[in-house]
Amino acid sequence: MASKPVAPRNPGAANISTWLQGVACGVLFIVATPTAVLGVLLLMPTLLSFVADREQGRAVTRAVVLFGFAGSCAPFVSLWHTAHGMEDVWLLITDIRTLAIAWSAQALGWLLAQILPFFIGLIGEAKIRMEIARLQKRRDALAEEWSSAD
Amino acid sequence: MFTRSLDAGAMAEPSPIQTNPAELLISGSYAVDLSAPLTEFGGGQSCFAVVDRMPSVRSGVKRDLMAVQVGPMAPPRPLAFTALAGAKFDYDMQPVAHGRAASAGGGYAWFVVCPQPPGPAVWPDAAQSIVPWSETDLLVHLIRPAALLLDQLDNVGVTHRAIRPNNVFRSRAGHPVSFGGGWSAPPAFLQPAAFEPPYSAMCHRAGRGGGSIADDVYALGVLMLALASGRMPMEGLDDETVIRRKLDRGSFSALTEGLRVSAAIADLARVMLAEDPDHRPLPSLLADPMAARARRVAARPAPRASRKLDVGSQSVWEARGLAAALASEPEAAVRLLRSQAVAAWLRRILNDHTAATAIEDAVRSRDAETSIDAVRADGLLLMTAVATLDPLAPLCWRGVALFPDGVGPMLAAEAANAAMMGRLEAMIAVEAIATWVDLHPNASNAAVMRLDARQMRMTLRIAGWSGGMARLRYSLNSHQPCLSPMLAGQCVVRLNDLLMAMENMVTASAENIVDREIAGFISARYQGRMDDDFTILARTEDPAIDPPGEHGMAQLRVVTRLGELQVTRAWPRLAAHILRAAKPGLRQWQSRATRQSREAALVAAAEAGQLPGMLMVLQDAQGLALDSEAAAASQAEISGIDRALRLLAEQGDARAIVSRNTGQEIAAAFGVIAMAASVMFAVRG
Repeated sequence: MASKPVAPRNPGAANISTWLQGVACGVLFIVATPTAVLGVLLLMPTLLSFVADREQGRAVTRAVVLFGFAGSCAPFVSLWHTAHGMEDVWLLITDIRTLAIAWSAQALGWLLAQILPFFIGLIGEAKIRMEIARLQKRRDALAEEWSSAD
Repeated sequence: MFTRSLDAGAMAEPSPIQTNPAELLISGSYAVDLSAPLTEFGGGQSCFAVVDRMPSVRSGVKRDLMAVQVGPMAPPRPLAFTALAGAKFDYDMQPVAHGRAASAGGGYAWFVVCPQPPGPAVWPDAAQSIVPWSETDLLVHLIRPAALLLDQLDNVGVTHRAIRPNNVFRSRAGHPVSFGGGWSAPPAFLQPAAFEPPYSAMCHRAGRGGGSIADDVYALGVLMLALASGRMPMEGLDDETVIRRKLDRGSFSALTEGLRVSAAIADLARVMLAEDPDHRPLPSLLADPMAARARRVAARPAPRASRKLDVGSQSVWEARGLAAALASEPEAAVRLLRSQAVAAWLRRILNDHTAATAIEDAVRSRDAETSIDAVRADGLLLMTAVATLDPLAPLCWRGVALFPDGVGPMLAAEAANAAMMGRLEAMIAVEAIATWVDLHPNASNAAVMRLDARQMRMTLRIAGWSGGMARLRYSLNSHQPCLSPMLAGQCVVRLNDLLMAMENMVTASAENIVDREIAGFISARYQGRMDDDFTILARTEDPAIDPPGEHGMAQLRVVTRLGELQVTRAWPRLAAHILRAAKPGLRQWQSRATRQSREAALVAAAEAGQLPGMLMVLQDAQGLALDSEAAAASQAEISGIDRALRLLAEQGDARAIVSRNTGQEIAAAFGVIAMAASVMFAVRG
């Protein structure tokens, strides 16, 4: 599905939001560096999706981030149950299953965000075609019944 | 004399006891024997012996019967039938019945049934001369019975108008004569010019009108001269010469030229042949011939001019001759009148200042006339001039001479003559009869004639086939058969016979079964109104404008109404013909299913010959209203569907957006569920 580039409705507000997000990220990196690093690594596809998704509301990114959080929840809990150091982060990310699960979950989110609209569109279109056929048939019957030709 | 009265109403219905089912009996009992023609008894008309199928019903008739065939364009005299039937009469050839029967030509004709004459005609058709009758024989056996008959006729208001040598009969010498009927043709229709007064002889033979009993006295006088001399008066002369000689010399002088008759007969003939009908003896006076003979005609000879006036090819010397010449040469007459040459001749040569002034006034009125076209104005001028110059003259209109009560028979006799019809139409359109009556203030029934003239004009003005000359023809001739080519030979006189004749005669190739003549016939005879249908039929059907099957529907309505008058209810041939013409009328129903069901019903009704059933199928206002309502509802539904389809086509992009958003929301929902499940598993370890 082609995504439509959307211009920010209020450039000023968008700048403030971006600035606040940057500040939050900065604070997070300062206060909880391991968590932030783990989050950046595990949610890398989400960040890519955020950058690439130009649609208003970023619905695809929303699905990706939700699935990303779902796939990253266990590593974060594991990190928070340890000493919360960079070594723990290193141990987690060197476990290939951790990244695979997190990234696969985000891929699944992206995939669902892409194919679900397609299938729903197909179902809707099928229903519309059936309705059109029904109306056309009724119309033909009426036209034939009330035509002047014998 | 006869126990059976005239009954035209019962004639067409076959008698339940008739021996031959195909035989059409007159009045339910008289069969015309076409194999037994009676050529010597018809007085110039075809005549056949009659077989009475119900002899027990009829009593008192001593002689055999005969049937006189009425000509298809010379209607009989129904008023005379009525008058004779209602009167106690000592007339041995009184008509017994009249009606429709098979004719020798293969079709049908109208016949008048009456007793056969007692013997041959007093003057057979082929005879050049006969043995002269004695004076006594004439007075006793001709004049007295004639006077008795004419007096009786006069008392019931009927004239005979058929006294001529081949229509007067007797068994043998020394016996009184019997007078054949004059009822089976228009008055004086078959009279030779010599036997008519000049003012009647100059008329078209169908337009002579009933005249007066004095005209019968005139004809009787001529017959008396013929029988007295044994030679036919004015024999071998054409009608125009006969009329001119009578006008120039007077009737008596012209008729007795070259004849040898006794002084007594000559005296009687002189009064009977007086130019002015008021000067002729009444029939009651003729019963005593000696007294009638003594009557003197006081008329002075007409003043004669010292110099002639040429009117076309004719030279005239006196006023009546001038009137006759003007009547017979209309174009030259109008030129002379409008140039005041006639008025100048009357004033300076004939010294008739009164007539000259009247003619000048008429010409001035003509010149000032702007309300009617020039031809009709000239016709009125000519008619006025003739009536002024000769008060006895008939109505002379552009070369046609007739009396007002002769208009009806003229319309029948000249129906095929378009030029004559045109002249008569113009005459009726300007109410020339009313003008003519105004010029004859002493006319006996002037008010009636004026009213008739107005009614004729109003009938002529009715638009479409309901009016016009065709309707007038049948309105004025109650026993005129319909002259439609489709009904040729069918002799349809009564409305009740029309539908059966149409059923018999309709052909597959006929475009319309109702033509102008049939429409005029129905309009004149039918009590209800069919004007709207005849207006439709008078128009040429235009598929671009007219509703489909409009002509067919109109025909169906007409024949259905006629069918209501009948006992028979099935008309398969008519129905089959109308089915073709009326079928397009089904298109007024918009529903195909309704059309198909109604077509099936229409065909079934047509096959059964049920005209009312066909009309019910095609003419159903309630059904049409329901059909229209349903059509409107259907059209609204189609419009709604079109709108819906258009909307569905237009909403494709919107639907795609909704689908995408929905899909993405579902994906997000899955994400939320997955995240919640993941957190729960993570928290529980």
